[in-house]
Order: sequence, then structure tokens, then C-alpha cells
Amino acid sequence: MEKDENKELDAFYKKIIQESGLEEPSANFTASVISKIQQENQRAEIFSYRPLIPRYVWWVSTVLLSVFFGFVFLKPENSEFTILPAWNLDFFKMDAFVAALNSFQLPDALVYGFLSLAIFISFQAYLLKTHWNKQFIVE
Amino acid sequence: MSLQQDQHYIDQVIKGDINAFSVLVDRYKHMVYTLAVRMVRNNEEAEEVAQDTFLKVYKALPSFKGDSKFSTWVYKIAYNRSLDYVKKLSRMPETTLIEEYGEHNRTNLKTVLDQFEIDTRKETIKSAMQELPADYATILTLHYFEELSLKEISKVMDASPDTLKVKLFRARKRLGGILKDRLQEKI
Repeated sequence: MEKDENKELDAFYKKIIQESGLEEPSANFTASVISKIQQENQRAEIFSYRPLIPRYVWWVSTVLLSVFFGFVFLKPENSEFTILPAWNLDFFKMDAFVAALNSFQLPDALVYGFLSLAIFISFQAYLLKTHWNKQFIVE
Repeated sequence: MSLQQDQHYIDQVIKGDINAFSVLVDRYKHMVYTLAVRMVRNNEEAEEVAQDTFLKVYKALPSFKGDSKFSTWVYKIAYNRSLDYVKKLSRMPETTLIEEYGEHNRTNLKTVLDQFEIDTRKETIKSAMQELPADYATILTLHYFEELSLKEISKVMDASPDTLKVKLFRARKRLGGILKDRLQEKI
């Protein structure tokens, strides 16, 4: 009985709400949306990220540096390759620097402090990303 | 509108065809605008919120996974944008202190409603909807006009179906009360 009445009420409110119809947006609504999207796209194109140093320059530099250091460090001692001048490359021997690093000790409190901060920031980044993405997710 | 009918246009938009997006806008603009009007309660501001909703939809379209109907996803964005807008203006939700109308009086209400011309009826119902709290008007529109189930509305409004069931019941009573008052004024 109660179920039937509820069904009747549902039908009544459905009828009157459907009869009243939806609100009508302005006539140029779609055109305005499309025009805003086009403006956004143009703006995005103008302000799009272009690296100051192109990718191929990084690749060429990496190859050249690898060849150079490979030659300096891996060249056999008795090599007769004499195009390069006899540079003094002793400054590449970093024994003193390594020894200095070995004797350098950070206080434990500082290490734990930085570690906690890193964990906190990572966790916060994850939480914020989840929060912002949530408005586009429908389970 | 089924997801299959929208999916073709969604794919086209993701490929870069902006004109395909205008088909989707035309399909959903009335409901999105209506939801915005129900929430924001001002036609100019609602238009802005509705346009903003479609900009958001366009940007977020590649992240739409098709787990739900496209329409539900669009309405969720519209609802959230409207809520953000209302919060930004710190506009308190308006509520009308009108006695809830006993549901057993439905027959009387129907009889009285039938006495009016269709245009007057439409106007009365629309203005009564505007007097309802935003949540109530949104639930009534989604449930009775768009015929979404409470489960689907729960995805849009981020509330449990049980809570929505109670709200729907109260919204109906409140709408009945407002209609009764309006119609008595006109008789």
C-alpha cells in the first residue's frame, strides 16, 4: 500500500518536474565555449615549454664528453697516440677529496631531520595529487 | 544518452577535433546549465559556471576512463564547479522556511495544479524549485528529470544513496509546501 503510494508520488513529481522542463542557456552558449577553448589552446601554444638547450645538443655533448673522458682514463699507458698534448691531468685524481669526504660526518639529528622532511613532502605530494584528481573520478 | 553514443565524439575530441566537442556541449548544456542555476541561483553567474564546467570537461577528457556514464561524469564536474563557485562567494545556501507539505495532500495539489494553464504551471514549478535549498533542487532535477538512480546521483554529489533517499523525501515535501503556498496566492 505504502509502496504503491510512493510510486504514485514518484510519478506525480516526475510528471510536474519534466513538464516544467530545463533552464535555457544563452543562444551563443556553445559558440562561447568553443571560442574559450580555442583561446586557451592558443595561449597554451604561446606559453608552451620549450627547453633553452635542445635535446640533440645534450646528446651530442654527452657523446663528446664520453669520448673525451674515455680516451683520457682508458688510454693504455704505452699508447703512441700523440695528437693530444701532454696535459697534466693530476687534478682528476681526487684522493684528497675522497679522504675529506670520509672524514666528514653529518650530525645524526640533521640526517634524521632531512629524512623525515623528505618523507613528509613525498606523502604530502601524494595526498595533494589524489585530492586534486578526485574531482574527475567517478567510482 | 549512452556512453557508446558519446564515445565516438570523445575519441574525436581527444584526437584534436574541437568541433566534435560542440556536439557534446549541445547534448549536455541544458542539464549542466540547469544544475548551475539550481546551485548558484543567478542566471548570468550560472552561465559562467556552466561554460567553465565545459572547459574543465574538455581539459580533463583524456582522463575520462569510461567507468561511469559520460553524463554522470559531466554532472559531477558541474556540481563541483557550482559548489566551488558558491563557496568562493561565501554565499550561504538559502533555505525557505516553509512548512513541509504532507504527502497525503498530493491529490489536492494535483487538482489545483490542473486548474492552471500549462505555462503558468511551468513557471510556478520553476520558481518553486528556485526556492528550494540547492541540494534538494539538484536531487529532484537529477532524479525526476534526468531519471538518474540514487546510486548514480550518489556519484555526482558524493553522498551515500541512503542519505540521498532521505533528502529526496524531504525535497518532495518541501516542494509540495512551496507549491501549495504559491498556488493559494494565485487562486
